Amino acid sequence: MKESGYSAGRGSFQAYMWVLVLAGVALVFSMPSATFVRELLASPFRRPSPTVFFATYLFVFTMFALNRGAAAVPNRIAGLSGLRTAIGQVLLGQLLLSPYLVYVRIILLPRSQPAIALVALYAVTVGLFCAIVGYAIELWGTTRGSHTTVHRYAFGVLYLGAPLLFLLPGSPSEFASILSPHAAFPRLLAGGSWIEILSIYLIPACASVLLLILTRIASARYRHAAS
Amino acid sequence: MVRGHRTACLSILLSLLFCVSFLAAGAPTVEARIGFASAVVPRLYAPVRITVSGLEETIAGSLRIVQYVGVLSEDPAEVTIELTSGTIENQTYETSIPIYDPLNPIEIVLRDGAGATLVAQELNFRLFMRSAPFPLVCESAVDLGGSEIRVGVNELPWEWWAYEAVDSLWLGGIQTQRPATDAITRWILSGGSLVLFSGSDFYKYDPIFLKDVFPVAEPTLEVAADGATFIAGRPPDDAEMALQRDDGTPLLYTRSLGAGSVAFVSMRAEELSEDELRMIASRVRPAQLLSMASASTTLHGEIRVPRPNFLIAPLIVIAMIVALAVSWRLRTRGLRTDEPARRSAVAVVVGVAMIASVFSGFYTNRTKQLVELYQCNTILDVQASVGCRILSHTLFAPGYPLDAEMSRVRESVPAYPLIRTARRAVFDSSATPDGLVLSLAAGESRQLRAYADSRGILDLRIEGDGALIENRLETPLTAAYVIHEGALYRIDKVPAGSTTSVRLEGGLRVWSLRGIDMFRYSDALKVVESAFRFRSGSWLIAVVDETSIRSGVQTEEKVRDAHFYVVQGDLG
Repeated sequence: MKESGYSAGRGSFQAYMWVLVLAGVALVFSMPSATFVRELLASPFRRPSPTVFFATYLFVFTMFALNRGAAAVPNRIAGLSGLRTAIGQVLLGQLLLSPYLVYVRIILLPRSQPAIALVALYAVTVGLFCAIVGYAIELWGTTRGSHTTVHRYAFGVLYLGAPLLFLLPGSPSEFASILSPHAAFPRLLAGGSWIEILSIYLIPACASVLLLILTRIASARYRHAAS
Repeated sequence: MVRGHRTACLSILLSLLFCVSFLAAGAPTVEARIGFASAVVPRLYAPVRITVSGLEETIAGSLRIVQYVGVLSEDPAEVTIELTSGTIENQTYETSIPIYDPLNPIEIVLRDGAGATLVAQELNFRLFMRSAPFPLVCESAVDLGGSEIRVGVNELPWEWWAYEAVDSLWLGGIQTQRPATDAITRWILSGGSLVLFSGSDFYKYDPIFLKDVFPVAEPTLEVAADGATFIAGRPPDDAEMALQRDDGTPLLYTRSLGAGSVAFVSMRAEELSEDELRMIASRVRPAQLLSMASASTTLHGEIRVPRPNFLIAPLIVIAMIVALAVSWRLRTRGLRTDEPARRSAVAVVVGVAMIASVFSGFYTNRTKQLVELYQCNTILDVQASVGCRILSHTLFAPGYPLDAEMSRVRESVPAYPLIRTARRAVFDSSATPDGLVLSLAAGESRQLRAYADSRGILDLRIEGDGALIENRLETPLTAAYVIHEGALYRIDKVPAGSTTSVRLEGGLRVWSLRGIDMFRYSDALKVVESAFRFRSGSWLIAVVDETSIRSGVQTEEKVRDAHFYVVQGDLG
């Protein structure tokens, strides 16, 4: 069967569905429910909360990409051809979420709205990085014949959560928190400095390239050893 | 020889002195007076008079007052009020400002165009601070037990809100300029309390001032049994005799004027006994300025939040899920049958995603987008012989910290309460002659009060059984009522910039403002009704209520301007 970005059976359908449902629920709950200002004053939960949507969106998309990367590893080690499938699936996932991203601008300040495109591009960058990480972890597990689910989720939680520790008072560098997508997206929306924005993109992009090279070397070495 | 040395030394000394005096002559100085005889009350307005002198020529610069709120050693909030900027010259600048924390010194700073400080003066009010409003006495020997502050007639301010810290104003035959007496009339209209001593001093008052506050018809100076002179005549119809002597000599009349009151004493203070003065003092109503704060809170709460329909977000989610399910079905079928079905599966997903994105883009137009600042300006315009304006600005920043910029046209520097909250409120603010900038924390709501003079923009004239209403506003009056001789008449519409004649018939005899169709303004009307009572005379009550979304430099604001007019009518 010819593989493409829009395939891989029942598992990938469920993955897309989970992404749509979870991000959709976050979209619904992030919308303001107050009709009058007095309701906004009475309850902060009735105010618009873009953070709820973007935090869920990035979490769900990261986990989706890790899983798609892992699912793309074929049974037999065939270089990096499976990775193309994972990348296609990540891009399709982003396409499915594009109506949400356009709609969510309703709860953003007018000056933050152009940054939606930056967040979408960042989500794609992070998604590709996570797909490569998922692929690499699965490849590593396959060569050892072990399950990698725990490793993948552990990486996801660490990647999203650990850099946030830099936001705590007394942290040596608050800037380092941008390693986490959860700390990076508010800066993109608020319009950070050029250095900040460039770093936010370059860190996952460079890590992806590095990981790709390492995975290619490891894959070739394994194939050589197997032959 | 020695004599020659002495002459030379003396010459050098004189030359030096001349040089020093020449330099000193060019040094600018500022002399500032704040409060009535330096008496100020925290959180209330106080008059300010700053005299700049010593400038050889006009300079470009600014004159500002800086107040510090909080503990000086612990980064206090800085409240800056710029009195004037641009051209500064040798003259006296007068205004009235809210005093926040008189325990800290107040700085008066004169700066040049480049921002360099030319001269600064520090004023300390710890010894003169009062904790509550006080009686103010001018040109009278009345003794109120030491609680009073005495000022000269030239110290009376020209802005009526400068009297906010005054409990009652006691005047004894003042002769002053019209702006000062107009300010007193405006203050009474807005809730002030005036005591006028007369007797032989009656004729010192400006007749127009007397006509505005306590017109006495056919006044004559008469002599009482004890030899004291008193003013006899016909007091205004709505005045009540509050005190008289045993021999029938009238002593005190009281009347309401707008939201305030006037007490007219028929004698000079010096001719009254201590008991009489005590009795008069006990009958003087303390000043209670009108406040639109409560009405503004209610009206602010009623501003609609621009937000999308509840159904749109679930619809988008459902559309995408259905599209995915349909395309997957086509895809599965395509794997079993032919290639076109697989292509159409991809086309369905891409197509629905694009359509939903475009629809979302169109739906999320400007009118439904997030507003950073909700502001309600509630304005009560009271117009009689003179007019005053009471403003309450309510601000709320629901989601983000921001610097709120408020413009002000001929109104006082808005004053705001210093309530410490858990929202890390910032009390720094910067006022210029045109506006005010203050910081709001995310989720913070703040209410400011301000005052202004009101210029006649609505007129009511009663002619026989009809009324003539002139509307010089740029907006039509859609909700208006005329009250004449205790009856209420609804006015359908008064177009902008026009004069409308209406017949006063079918008026409601028994009425309450809260029972009419302006019910949604009940809080504001309650303030108006309890202050003015409307038992006599002719009045026009109108409301202009407009809401708009304004794009500021950095903020998107939804602003409601609720303008209430209370206009006293003339009889034709």
